[in-house]
Amino acid sequence: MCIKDSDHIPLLKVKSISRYYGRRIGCRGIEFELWPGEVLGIVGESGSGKTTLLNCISGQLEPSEGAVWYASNGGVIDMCVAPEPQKRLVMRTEMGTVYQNPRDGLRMHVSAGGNIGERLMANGLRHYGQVRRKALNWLEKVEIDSERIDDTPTTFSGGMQQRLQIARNLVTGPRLIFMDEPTSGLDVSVQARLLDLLKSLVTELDLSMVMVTHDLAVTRLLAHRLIVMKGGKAVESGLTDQVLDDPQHPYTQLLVSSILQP
Amino acid sequence: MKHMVDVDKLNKNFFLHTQGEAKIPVFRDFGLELKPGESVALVGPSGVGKSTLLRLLYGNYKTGSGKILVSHDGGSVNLSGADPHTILHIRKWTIGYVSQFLRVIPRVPAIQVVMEPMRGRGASEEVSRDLAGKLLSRLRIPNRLWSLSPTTFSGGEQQRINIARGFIATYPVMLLDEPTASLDPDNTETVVEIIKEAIGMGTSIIGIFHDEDIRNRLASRCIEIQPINNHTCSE
Repeated sequence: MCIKDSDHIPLLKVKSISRYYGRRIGCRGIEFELWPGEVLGIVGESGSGKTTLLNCISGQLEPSEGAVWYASNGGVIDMCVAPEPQKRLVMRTEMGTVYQNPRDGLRMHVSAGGNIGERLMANGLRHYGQVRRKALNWLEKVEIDSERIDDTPTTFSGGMQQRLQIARNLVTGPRLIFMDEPTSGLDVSVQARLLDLLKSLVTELDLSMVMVTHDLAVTRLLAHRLIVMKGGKAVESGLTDQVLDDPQHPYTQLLVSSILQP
Repeated sequence: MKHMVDVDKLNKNFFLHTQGEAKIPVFRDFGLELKPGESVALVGPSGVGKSTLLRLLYGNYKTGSGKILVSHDGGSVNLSGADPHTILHIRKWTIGYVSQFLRVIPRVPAIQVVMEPMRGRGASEEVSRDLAGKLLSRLRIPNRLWSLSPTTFSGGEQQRINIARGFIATYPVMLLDEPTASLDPDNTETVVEIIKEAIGMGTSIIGIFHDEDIRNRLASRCIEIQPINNHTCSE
């Protein structure tokens, strides 16, 4: 047996992140580490601070306190204090964000191919043929008919829009993806398909992912680890199957016992 | 000789906060030692905590107090209190687990489900597929089912997918929760062979086998789990 895992440093180290909105608490004292190839699920009810936390660690919202250490290709940086150009570069080349509402993550009046190509061109690829080839390749990966490359996302179904958003984010080969309720607006058959796609992309590309969701079934299938949030704080965290099968905190027990079994 | 698994003074209670703060004690100062190449059967009445013990050893349930030392990656790791990253690493390389349930993403083909542990260890698609195919054939899962999602399979077929997935990679320690429970005699025989081969290759086993004959054929000793007290006390 050979244990050759090179992943002995975390990709992301979140140190005591808090975010206050005036006197109101968005999230408070959150800490975790994320390793290459790992998927972290953040669960909790609406208003528990999940999205605030996600926005703080993905560089979209400045935390009131704490640090986010990211092991970028160019060395470890603190996303909270890094100079704006450096932060922007890392966010554009090594990270991606998939929004709950595809309209927030896509340019709705630009063609599907244009949506995928935009990030490539922003990262310096200029050859039109290459951009188009890569776009076609990614449409295929996310199971969108290549004939739709020149259509705008406004003509796509919700599930297709979500898959296009994923393609747009992954085309530049990021290492870390943030997702906010990626499957919540979709009907269940489309949801299963998207989960399958995400799971295989995570394995194939050795992606790390932080995913906010209120769907515990989704986290069981996709996330290695879970953080359960309530009132802005992490009330419980650990291995996904351990948190779901042997929940310790009363709130987690309530969440788990409230799942409907089909 | 060093133990593969060493359980010492293990305590475990379940607290049901949403059901009147009920406390259900399962283990009190429980101990167990598993030597390399040894195969141990857990015995005891239903509900005594045999499956719970396997889940504790897999890090699926949280230890109350005590130690679960596992020989891993050239050292010894205490599973109780280990961080999730370490537990995942142990599950990838050291401890395999065949449960009675198959949990998969709908739509993922059976063969992919079986291949996954090998892919996770970095084996190529081709090598993993080849190994998975051999195991599935051996377990009499017809070729035409390989590309279908096991969510639609019968109980016995799902169990065999679980077994193939559990045995595709070799682990120093395997936890088996009734691996032959819903299988016909021919498949039961095949599964016994597969387990014996693993033992032959040096895998240590902790298993629950309700069938006495199978238990006698697979286990070198039995550990009886005693009920500590069966009543639930409210506090």
